[in-house]
Amino acid sequence: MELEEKLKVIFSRWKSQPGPCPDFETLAGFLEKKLSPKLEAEVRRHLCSCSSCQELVKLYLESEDIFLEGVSRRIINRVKTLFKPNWFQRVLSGVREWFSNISWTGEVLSFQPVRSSFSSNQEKVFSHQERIYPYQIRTEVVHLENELFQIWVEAYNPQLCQLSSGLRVNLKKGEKELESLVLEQGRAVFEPVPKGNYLLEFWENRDFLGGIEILIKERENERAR
Amino acid sequence: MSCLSREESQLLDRIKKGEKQAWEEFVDLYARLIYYVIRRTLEKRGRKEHLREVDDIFQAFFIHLAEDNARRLTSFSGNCSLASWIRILAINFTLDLLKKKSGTHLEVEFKLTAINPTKSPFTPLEALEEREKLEKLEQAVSNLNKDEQEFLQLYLSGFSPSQLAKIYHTNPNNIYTRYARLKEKLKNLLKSM
Repeated sequence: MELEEKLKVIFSRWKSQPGPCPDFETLAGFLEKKLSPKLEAEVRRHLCSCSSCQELVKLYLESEDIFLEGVSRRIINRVKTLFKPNWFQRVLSGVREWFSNISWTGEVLSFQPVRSSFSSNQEKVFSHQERIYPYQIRTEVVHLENELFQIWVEAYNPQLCQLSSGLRVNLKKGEKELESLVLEQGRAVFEPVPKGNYLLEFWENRDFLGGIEILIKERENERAR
Repeated sequence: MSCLSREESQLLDRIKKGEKQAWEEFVDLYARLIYYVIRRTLEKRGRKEHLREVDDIFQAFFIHLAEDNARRLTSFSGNCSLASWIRILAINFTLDLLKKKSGTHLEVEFKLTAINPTKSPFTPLEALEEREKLEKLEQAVSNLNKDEQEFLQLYLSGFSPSQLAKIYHTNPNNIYTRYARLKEKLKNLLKSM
């Protein structure tokens, strides 16, 4: 195993449950170097273990070369009509303002749960890597629009530094074999399947190399925003 | 200290007071930025073919901001620039919407179920040696200080060196150098064990 691979294994063992995510102002302040050193260190520590915040930060940094483009006047005019303040809310905002003026305004940045712990791309494609000697097997489950899932398999031989063809992969549900494919150019794509428990079996010639179980299910205890 | 300019602060105050003209000024100021960020997020999430969604998400985002007397917008307390905060909000809003569109919330578990023992890469002795090596490395990593461990974790979690440079407020060369030094330090730690 390469050093980086080994380090990833070690950090995945160490990975603890990330604490609550910083609010958006804190996160933006972090990227603009506007936080106190203590808070900055706290956000960076959180970032190490929170994939959701990592994704947000990556997308933020990837949209830095801002190229402002024209937006249709029709849409602009439409969104301009969206703001409909009412008198009660105006009074309420005045009361809120009065209270906020008399409250203590020291360092108010705090860590609060602001979004779910899972990000959209993780919802769409689920991937996994496993070593089934001598291959590095990458499995992907792609969520299609119509509640069906497509399973992709890729086998790479690190000794030969190439994708491996000729490997047979069987997709089974329970004892029933749904499909059996031979990898071409290292890859195979199975017919879409519904949610459930599946088994991928890897065979080379007549040797059984190993299996990967895939469980596609509804998530329990969705974290509330 | 607030990062808001006087104009921005006045604009938010006027929106808070329910001035429609202020809302329109806000739309004129930030519409293009928001539109760009939503489009870019969709592109980066591999939704190039769904670019017509930009208009829908754009309008939905402004509805989100305008709700409840623009409470979300006026809750901004100025601890970062208004533009950066809006960018993060728009990215997160787009991601949330994509998630909702993808239907039910799902998860997939993968588990290695069986390995043919005759096909194992190592003899039992080699496997033991490999495990010992990993344990030694783990011990070496635990001897690094917290900052160094965090740096390695972030380095290995998919950020590019130029992105890490922005996270560490430095330049990419420093990131490469720091990583190379840490690798060297780990090697020395391993030698000394």
